[in-house]
Amino acid sequence: MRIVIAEDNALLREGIALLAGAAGHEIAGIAASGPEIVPALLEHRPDIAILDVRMPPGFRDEGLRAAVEARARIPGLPVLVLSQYVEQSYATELLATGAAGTGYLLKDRVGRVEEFLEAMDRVAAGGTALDPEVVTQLMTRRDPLRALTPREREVLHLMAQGHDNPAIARRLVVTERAVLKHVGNIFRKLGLPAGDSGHRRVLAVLAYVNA
Amino acid sequence: MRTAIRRSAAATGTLLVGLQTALPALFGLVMAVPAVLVLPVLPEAAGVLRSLAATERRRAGRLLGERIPAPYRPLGGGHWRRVRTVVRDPATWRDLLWLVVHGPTGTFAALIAVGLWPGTVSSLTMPLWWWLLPPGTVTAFVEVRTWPVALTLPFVQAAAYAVLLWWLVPVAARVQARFARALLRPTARARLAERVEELTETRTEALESHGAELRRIERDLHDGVQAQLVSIAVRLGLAERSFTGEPDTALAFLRDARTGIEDSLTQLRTVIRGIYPPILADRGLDGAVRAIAGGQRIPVTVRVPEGLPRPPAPVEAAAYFVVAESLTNVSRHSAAASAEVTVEPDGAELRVRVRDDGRGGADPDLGTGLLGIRRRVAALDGTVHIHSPRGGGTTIEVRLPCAS
Repeated sequence: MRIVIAEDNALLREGIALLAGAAGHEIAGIAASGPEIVPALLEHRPDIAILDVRMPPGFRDEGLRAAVEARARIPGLPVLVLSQYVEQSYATELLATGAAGTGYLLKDRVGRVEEFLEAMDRVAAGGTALDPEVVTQLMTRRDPLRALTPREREVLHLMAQGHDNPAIARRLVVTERAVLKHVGNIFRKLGLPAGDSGHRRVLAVLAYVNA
Repeated sequence: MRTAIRRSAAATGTLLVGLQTALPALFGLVMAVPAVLVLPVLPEAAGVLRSLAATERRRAGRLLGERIPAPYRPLGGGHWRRVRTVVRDPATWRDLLWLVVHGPTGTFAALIAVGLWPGTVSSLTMPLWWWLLPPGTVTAFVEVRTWPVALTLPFVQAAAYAVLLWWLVPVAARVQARFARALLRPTARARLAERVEELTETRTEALESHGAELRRIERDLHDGVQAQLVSIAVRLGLAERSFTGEPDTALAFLRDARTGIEDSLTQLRTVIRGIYPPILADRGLDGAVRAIAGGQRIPVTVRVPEGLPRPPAPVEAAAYFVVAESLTNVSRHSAAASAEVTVEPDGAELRVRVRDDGRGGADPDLGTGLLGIRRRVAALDGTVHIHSPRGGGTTIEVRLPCAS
C-alpha cells in the first residue's frame, strides 16, 4: 500500500512511517505544511492519505481543509485524518465528502498498532474508521437511542466506528450470530432499512446519529 | 397664548413643589450650624439631610429628564468610622451648601411664582374696584388716586407680571433644578473614584480567579498526568524485569503502561481544553460557537455577524465558556425545545446572549454553571444579566469589555 503522510511534527511523522513500514507499506510522499498536501497527493496518487488536522503555516485546520479539497479533486481518495483532539463538527464536515474511504481518529490511537493498521486497511479499502470519542459525541445527541439496550448501544457504537460484524464479534467476545441478532434489533428499533452492509450500513447509522 | 400659560403654570407648579424641600431646608438652615456640630457625634443626622437631598434629586431629575445619581460613600463599620466617612465625604458638605442656598431662594421663588397669578388678576381688574377702597390702600407702583392713573398704571403692572410669569418663572424653575443637579450629583472626581474602586475590586477578583485557575491547572497536571507518567514508568520497569523469565507478565505490564499513556493523553486534552479550547484557535469564536451549537440535542440558532473582529484570547475563551456552560444548562434543566446564541460587538464590548424557550425560573445564586459563568466573566470586568421568569424561558446576557 502506498501512503502519503501530511504531518508537521517530525517525531509523529517518523512514528507513523515506522509503523507503516513494519506493516510492509510504502511511504510515497510527505507533506510538512498545509499548502504542500494537495500537490503531493496529486503527484503521488497514493492508496491512502494520512493527514494531521493542524498544520503550518496557520496551525488551524489546514489538514482538514486539504482533505476536503483532495476528495473533490481526486474522487474516492481514501483519507485518514488524525488529530490531537476530536471535534464532532469536523467529523460531520469530513463525512459530508462521503463516508466511503474516510477515517477520523485521535492521534492516541496510533499507539494501538494492530487496531491502527486495521483502521488504515479498512479506510484504504473504502470503509470507514471513526474515533470512538467522535461516535460518543454524536450519539449523545439522539434521544431515541434510549430505546436500545446497553449491549445494543455498544454494537451501534462499534458499527458507527466502521467495524463489520466479525470485528464487532471479536471485540465484544461474542459469536457473529449474536451480533447479527443485535444489529437486526437496532435497525428495527431505529427504523433503519435492514440488509445494508459495509459502508452503506455505516452511512445509515451515521446519518441517523448525525441527523 | 394657551401653551405659554400652560408652561408658566407647570413651572409655577414645579417651584411650588420645590417648597417640599425648600421649607424643610429653611428650617434646616436654622439647624445647619448645630448640624455641623452634631455630625461628628451623630453621623445618622446626615441621613435626614440625605433623604431631603434625595427628594430634591428626584424632583430636579423629573424636570431635567434624567436620573441624578446619589454621590455618597457607603457607610459601614463602627461609630467613629461612620463619623469619619460622613465628615470626609465631600457630598455631605455639598448637601449642606445646597441646603443653605435652596432654603431661602426656594421658598422665595415659590412664593413669588404663586403670588404673581392673583397679582396679575388683581392688577387687571383694579380699574373696576380701586375707588371702592379707602384712599391710599391700593398701589400699582405708585398710589392710585385718580382715574387716569387707575386706567393706565394697573395695565402696565399686569403686563410686567405677565412677562415675569411667562419668562422668569420657567427660567427660575430650570435654574433651581440645574443648581440642585450641580451640587447633589457625584462630582467628576467622585465618579472617577467610584470607577477606580470598582476596577480595583474587579482586578482583585481577576487576579484571584486567575490564581485559582493556575492552581487548578497545576493540580491537574501534578496529580493527574505527572502521577500517571510515574506509574507508567514503574510498569515499564516491571515489564523489563520480567521480560526474560515471565514474558506473559511482562506483556501484561506493557499493556497496562499503554493504557496509562492513553489515560494521560485524555487528561491532557481536558486540561488543554480548560486553558484554551483548541477549536477557538482553529476556527475562531464564530466556528467554535457553531460547533457547540451543532452538538446539542435541540436546534440552536447561532447569530454572529459576518467579519466579527477577533476579540483578545481571554475574552474569546470566556465567551466560548459562557456559551458552552449556558447550553449545558439549557439541556440539563430547561426542557427547552430550541435555543438561540447571539454574539455581537456592542461598542467596546462583546455581547453574548443565550436564550432558550424552556421553563425558566433559573436561580442565579444556585448551580455551579451560573456561578462559573459569573466568576469567569467578573475576572474580565464583564457583567452577567440573567432573565428567567417562571415558564418564560431563560436569557443569559454577558458583556465583556474588549478594548484596552
